[in-house]
Amino acid sequence: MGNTVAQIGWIDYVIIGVYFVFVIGVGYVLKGKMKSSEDFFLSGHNIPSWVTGLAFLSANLGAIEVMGMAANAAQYGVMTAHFYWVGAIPAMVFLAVFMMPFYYGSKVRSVPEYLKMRFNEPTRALNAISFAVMTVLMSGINLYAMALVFKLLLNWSIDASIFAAAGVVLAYTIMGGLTSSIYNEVMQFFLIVFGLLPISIIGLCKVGGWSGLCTQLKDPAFAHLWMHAGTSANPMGVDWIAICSGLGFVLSFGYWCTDFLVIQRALAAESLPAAQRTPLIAAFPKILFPALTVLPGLIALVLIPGLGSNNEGMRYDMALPLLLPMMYPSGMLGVGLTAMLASFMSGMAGNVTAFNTVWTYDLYQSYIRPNQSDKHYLWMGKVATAVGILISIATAYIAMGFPSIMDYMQNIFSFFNAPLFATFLLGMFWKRATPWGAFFGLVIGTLTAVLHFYVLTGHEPFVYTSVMAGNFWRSTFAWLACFISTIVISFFTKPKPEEELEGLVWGKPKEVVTIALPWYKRPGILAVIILVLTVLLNFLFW
Amino acid sequence: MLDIRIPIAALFTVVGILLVGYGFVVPTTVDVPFSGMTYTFNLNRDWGAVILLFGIFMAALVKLDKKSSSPES
Repeated sequence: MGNTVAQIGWIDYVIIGVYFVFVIGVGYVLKGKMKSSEDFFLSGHNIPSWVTGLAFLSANLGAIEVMGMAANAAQYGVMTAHFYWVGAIPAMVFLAVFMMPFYYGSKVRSVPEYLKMRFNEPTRALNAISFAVMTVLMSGINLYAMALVFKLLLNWSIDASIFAAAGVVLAYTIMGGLTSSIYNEVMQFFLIVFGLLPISIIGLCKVGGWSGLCTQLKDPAFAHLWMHAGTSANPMGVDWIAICSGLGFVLSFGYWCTDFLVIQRALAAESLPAAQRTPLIAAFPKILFPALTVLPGLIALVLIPGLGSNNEGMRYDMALPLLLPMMYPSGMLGVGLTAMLASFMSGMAGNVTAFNTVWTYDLYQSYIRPNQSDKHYLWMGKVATAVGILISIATAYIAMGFPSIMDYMQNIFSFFNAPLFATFLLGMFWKRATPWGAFFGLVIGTLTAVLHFYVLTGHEPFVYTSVMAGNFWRSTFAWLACFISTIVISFFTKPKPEEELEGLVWGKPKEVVTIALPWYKRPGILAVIILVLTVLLNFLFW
Repeated sequence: MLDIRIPIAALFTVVGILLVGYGFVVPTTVDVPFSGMTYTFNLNRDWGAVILLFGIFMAALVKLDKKSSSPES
């Protein structure tokens, strides 16, 4: 395929160039502020909550999210919005209200470090290693997905796209650390809103509004969230039980409550109330994001004949990229392309900054070179950033060899994130959970997921109507296996002394100073508002 | 620490100016049907103006904050 789908003009290249200059410039300006490892890895804990909130949201807005959700909507209909209204919002609220006091209050520098303090070193090491592997794989997938889109849309060389994007991300993350990554994520958030919103508005008008869109969808079930979820006979192939347990509980909580990529942004906040507000501030735009991702996917299904065919340029993944040249003239096309570039690059940067922190604190400092100076660990953080980028480039080329990247990554999440959430749930809310109970529970949960995927799936009763249904059920089984085995093993092994659990577990609070906050800053009130809005949307799109 | 609103304001102001300027120099229209009528927009000029206003708004927030935190003369 040599022809370009989009005719990109000089103005589009200028806009993309301006964005590159700004992201590198932000890194350069912040370079002088990176005086300690805490500055580099945790932004010195002095970022205001509106910034950490938008960064929390944007860290998740990588290639998989922006393009993947539009692709899912074209393939499965408005049920894709479950990934937001069931599969994200409740978990974000739970994290803010119940878990953040333990994360922030315990002063841990990473999620694995919490596991070390609550349980033991083997549990920390297991999580640190699996997270480090997972996060560089994700980084590479962002890079590859971006290169593929620009190859199909603009006929850019895949190698040039990969190396150019990796070079820009390396420049701003190695100079400005987590702060640079956070600042660029916030810029990316606004770019995505301003770059993609006109697509939804113009597209919706062109198809005759929501009612006009619904009449043109080949399958009427594409326009309903819950109406056809009584059984698995719906576009997504999952019933309401799998949606609520697999997606709404296990996968969702497993990601939003334990994945260091997003937790790291909240830990950068300036105080505990600010850290608690971080996921809640993120939840407000998250509720509305289906308008920018799910809606264009449905619009693409109507406006682009042949979408979803075997032709590589017409895969479902191309739903959003194909709408850009269709709706935008040169100029706005540059803004739309920059928005997509920004989401890919910040997805990569987010994973690399999470990787360098977990590597430096949880693996290098803990097991390889402990008791070194802070300057040494700051240096190692920068080395880890460069190495993380190089590994991401390598994993991008590995990802090229797999037929279905999205399914591959959802499998990884079901292997690692699902059981990890059971470990955290018991660790934070049950004092009796023991270190060896947690370690072996995590191992058993992960092995259950592996067994389900490689041995059981495809044999009765583990036959599923879609890959997604398989992912949801696998997550549920992995979580259950970890949860039950952790409890059972805990009863046969020794718990940590209660005095070591202060501030780490429910019922053992640290002394906190309560300050009066206005209503709009109180986590409880914000949580209720968000949940009410989410329930209303579920009814609206029933 | 760098106030993040400054690079946001700068980026969106520059992009807004580029789009508005390009929209005037190379006017390209988009037809948008709505409620039985068709509206024609110069998307670069019109949405560029929205982006530019956002950039100016961010800059105004920074200036207001600086003004309220500076000591009275």
